[in-house]
Amino acid sequence: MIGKVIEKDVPRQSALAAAPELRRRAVRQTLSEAWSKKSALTGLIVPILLIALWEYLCQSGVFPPWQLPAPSYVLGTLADLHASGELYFHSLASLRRVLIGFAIGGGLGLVVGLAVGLSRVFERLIDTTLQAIKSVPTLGWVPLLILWFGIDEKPKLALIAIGAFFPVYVNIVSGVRGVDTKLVEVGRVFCLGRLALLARIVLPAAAPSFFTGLRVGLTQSWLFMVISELMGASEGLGFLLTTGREVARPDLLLASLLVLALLGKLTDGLVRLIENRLLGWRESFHG
Amino acid sequence: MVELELRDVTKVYDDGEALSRINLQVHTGEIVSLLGPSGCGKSTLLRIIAGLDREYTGSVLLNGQAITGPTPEVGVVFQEPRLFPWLNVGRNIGFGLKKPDSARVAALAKEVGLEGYLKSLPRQLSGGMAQRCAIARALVTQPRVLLMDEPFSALDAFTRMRLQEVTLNVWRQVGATVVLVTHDVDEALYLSDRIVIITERPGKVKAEVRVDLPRPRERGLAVMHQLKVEIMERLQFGTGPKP
Repeated sequence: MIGKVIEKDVPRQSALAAAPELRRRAVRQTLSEAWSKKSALTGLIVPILLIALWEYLCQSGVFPPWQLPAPSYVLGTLADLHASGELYFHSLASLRRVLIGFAIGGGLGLVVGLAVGLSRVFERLIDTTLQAIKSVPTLGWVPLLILWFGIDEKPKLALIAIGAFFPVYVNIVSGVRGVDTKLVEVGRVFCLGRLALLARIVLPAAAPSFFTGLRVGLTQSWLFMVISELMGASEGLGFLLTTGREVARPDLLLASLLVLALLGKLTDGLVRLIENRLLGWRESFHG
Repeated sequence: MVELELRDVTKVYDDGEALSRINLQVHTGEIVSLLGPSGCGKSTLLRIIAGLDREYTGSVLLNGQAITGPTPEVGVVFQEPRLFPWLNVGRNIGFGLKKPDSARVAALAKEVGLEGYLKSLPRQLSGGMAQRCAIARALVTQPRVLLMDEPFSALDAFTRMRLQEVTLNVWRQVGATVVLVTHDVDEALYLSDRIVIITERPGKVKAEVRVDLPRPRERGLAVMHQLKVEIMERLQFGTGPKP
């Protein structure tokens, strides 16, 4: 005999014993959910305090109204803009520019990025050129764009498109290049053609980078929209900003900035919503 | 009947021969293991059979026809599950189908013990479950030959044994020919009809061991132990004097 197995009685109550542990875990989960809801509100504490302080400082006359109007006054200005319809007229004009420019730039970024990502020949042909163009600070194009297109709609859209193009392009290329070759190999085992490989493996695998590019591109679009409108415009939030400066109305400036922030957040939230819908499969770190 | 035949398959890398004149015949319905130390080129050999590697000389014949690339007749299970993270288990299993066939997907999922997990995402699966899913995915096109490249080497011992059972189970159900690459002698002995021992660089067929034991086999049977000792000696891990 070189060894011996000793049988042990296994108590048969393990399922019951687990019950309190499960219950405790459920309680912990509810608590943490409650806390995460509360922490969304926690984020509001500082802005509310700041606005209250701002209101107080203005009311007590520390800042003169022609320099810094009180939040309540800015809200009043917004209400006026709402009543006259100007708020919507200018917001829509800006939003339209952002969307058109973003669609052109982002669309081109997607197409060119895919071409460069998928084909080494394309990469060698145009990547160097694009990197060179990319190293020009985007605002440097402004005089040239004005010279070429005048100061109407075209140079604005061109500038916004350039701003949107590069983030989308760069992220698409790195996304496609980052696709796990092991997954591509699975596709080859199933005899997928080039097009099917692209649609069923490369695109879904590159989608997270693509969305990163989209969101950065969208932020850039808003940025360059404001700049293009400051260059000269007869409508849009940038026009409101210029007007506010010219007639020395800081309330108008602040109201316009507030609307810009809201619209930027809104469009970003929209992209994020689509992203979360499509990319729910990703493992994410929740802190 | 010979299902798969390798004739003088030789693969040369820049730094020398990786595989040297491999000749092998696999019969329909057989389970053949390619056993050898890491780096002996057994995985390369499997990739050649799968049609993923075409830089070799010699020929690979499937039912007498030369293999020139991946074919639906040959399914592959890799060392890692390689599931598509954006597809749920059901869609991963059905990936190779031309048109959706939920009945077939459900049947395969049941066969590998994933019937309750069709809607789960790969990240929610354990390593063993992910590999089960990969096996089902490889079988969805009803391949005649199933190639498995060290499919259980990343799993713990218990999960590995359970998946070996799963493999035997599906093998019985679908009747495919299986070529398994492994470096686990016990695994080879438990699963195979024949074990092909491959030497280290360049990979050559050193010996073939026939395992004529009825299935299901009992693990750790005395006969198997005897075979294991002989295999170990061929692999130069024997206790006897080294040549």
